[in-house]
Amino acid sequence: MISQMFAIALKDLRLLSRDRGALFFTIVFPLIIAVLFGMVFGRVSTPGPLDVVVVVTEDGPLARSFSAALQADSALHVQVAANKESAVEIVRRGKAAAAIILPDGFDARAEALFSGGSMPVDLLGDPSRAAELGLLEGKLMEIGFRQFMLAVTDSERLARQSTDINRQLENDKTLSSEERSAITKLFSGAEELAVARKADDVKQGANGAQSAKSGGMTEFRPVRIRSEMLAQNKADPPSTYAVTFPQGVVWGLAGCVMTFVTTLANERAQGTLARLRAAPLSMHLILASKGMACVTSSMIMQGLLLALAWSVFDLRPLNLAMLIFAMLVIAISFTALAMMIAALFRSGGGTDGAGRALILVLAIVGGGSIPLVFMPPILRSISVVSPFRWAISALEGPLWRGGSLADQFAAIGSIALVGLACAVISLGGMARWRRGM
Amino acid sequence: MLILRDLRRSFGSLQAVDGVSLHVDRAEVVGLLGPNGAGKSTTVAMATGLLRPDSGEVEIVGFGEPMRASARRHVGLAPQELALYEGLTAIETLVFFARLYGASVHRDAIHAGLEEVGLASRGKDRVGTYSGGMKRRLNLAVALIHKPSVLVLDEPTAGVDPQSRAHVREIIRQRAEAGCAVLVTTHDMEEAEKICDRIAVMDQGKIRAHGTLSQLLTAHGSVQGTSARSLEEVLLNLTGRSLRE
Repeated sequence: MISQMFAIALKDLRLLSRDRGALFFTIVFPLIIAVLFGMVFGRVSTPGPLDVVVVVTEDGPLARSFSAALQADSALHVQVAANKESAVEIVRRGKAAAAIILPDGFDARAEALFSGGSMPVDLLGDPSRAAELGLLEGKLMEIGFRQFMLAVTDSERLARQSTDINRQLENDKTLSSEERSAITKLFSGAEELAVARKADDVKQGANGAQSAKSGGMTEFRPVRIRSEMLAQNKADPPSTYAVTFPQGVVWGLAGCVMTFVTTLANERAQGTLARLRAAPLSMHLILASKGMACVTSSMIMQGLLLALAWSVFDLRPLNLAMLIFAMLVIAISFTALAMMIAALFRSGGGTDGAGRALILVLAIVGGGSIPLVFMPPILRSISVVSPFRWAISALEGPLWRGGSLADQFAAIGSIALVGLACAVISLGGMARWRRGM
Repeated sequence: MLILRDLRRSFGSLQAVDGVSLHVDRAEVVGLLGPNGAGKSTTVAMATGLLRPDSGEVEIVGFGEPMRASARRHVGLAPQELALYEGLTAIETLVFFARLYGASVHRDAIHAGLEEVGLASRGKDRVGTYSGGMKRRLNLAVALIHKPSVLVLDEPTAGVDPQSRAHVREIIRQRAEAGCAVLVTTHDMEEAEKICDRIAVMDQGKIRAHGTLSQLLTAHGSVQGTSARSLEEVLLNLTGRSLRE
């Protein structure tokens, strides 16, 4: 039975691959829509400063200095947020790649750089921009080194640190007097060095931080970064392609459904369906096999389009597993829609003509021509009747909009419900067919 | 062996088949003749399990009724329409249908199937590029690929050239001689005379007469005012001369 199902599905896919018209409307046309609309409505993205948002949760000179260094860096475009919640919201909405939180106790930890401390930084990132977050961590480390060198060349700060260290040395009963003396000399030397460097800097008018760049302190990490990825809830898409590719998928789905409906109509009109029914197969198996072909072609189409969006237009899904699940549910649901259209009309011509008209209207109303966000309210209200609208919502969640898993499952569940309704109606239609046999 | 027992089937108020009983033995070709609308295609559809009779029964002896998939495995159908996929090659077509029937898809088996209908040299060409005669022969090859015990052919030579027609008739006879029970519908009197062991004349859903060619000619074949007898006269005498819709 399985081999028979595969035989029919493979036959349909083979016929589809040889039908240039069907192939155009299933793959090429959706791609043109996605790319063309994306280019027309969007701006071509050029590499620029990385958008980040900074929060200083406890005011202090070192935290302020670190924040200022971030804002002065030409590789970053920095917004300053009043608190962590605001910063997180900015990242969730896709307005920044990450929130850089300089937490409570930053100054205290930074003061202790010479006694094993490090500057704590909490990095809350957008998971769809993982590569940029890697670069950002490198940038934070670089700024940390600069801050460290400033500390080394800041005589007042060094003196404070030296006093602290001397106090700690005196209190440390595990050290011998020789060891204590050696360590004290070491820090006295460092203090003298800082005074001498400061004098040089004044002479040369140079910034001490510049010389820090050539330092070879590769093992020492002055910044301790604690990274965390945020669930996304973006109001705005990261690029126009994030809108136009799901739109392209809509047209691809329309192409798949129309191809399926047409092949079934042709099979009825040309007598090949009767020939299939004369073979040792049940009608359910024949339709399930054809459904398998429709699901497969829908998955291939969606996969191709979204892979292209990822590789060429950098539209990386927020949740790949959820996206694949959504694609599968959409493919199955639209196959049920195609079955319903095929079952509702008795004649091959009626199925083909009415089916095409219905799909075209549903695709346009569902956001195939005007993206849902740009639709006038009345049209947006009407769009709820279109399964294409629910397909777009189901794709946009894991693709770029994010939100909670419950929200994403709800969108996918909506399209699954549409598919279930179509399946129930198509079973009724099929029963009518069978009564005619 | 194929047995039809008192088959009846109506579509709305139209009684398409009205009490048809017929049997086709092994190694026998039975022709079903009749004007358009006589009920031949409906009878064929019920004989192959495509249509459920309102009453009566069909039996593929040893395998049960053809509404069951397991019985249909032993039936070969060449429908009147050229029910082929134009986008597939002949080889792909035979492999596809062989898979559906669980028959061998070995290269030799497929080649033999094409050889039998004279299409071996065009096996890799798409069906859409074939002439009407070639499609008709492939239509027959599909019905034969799984070596059925019962062969049902609905006007197997309609619209083809004399060469293809002769070839198809030869194949039908060969299959019957190999033990196949063959039920064939036709409008072609010459064809019925040449290949059928028995002939049933059908009209308005009923079998009007049934027997060997000589039996029918003797009983119903006289041409008015002459001593000549022909199968066409048998048909006209039994079904009338008025035009049918």
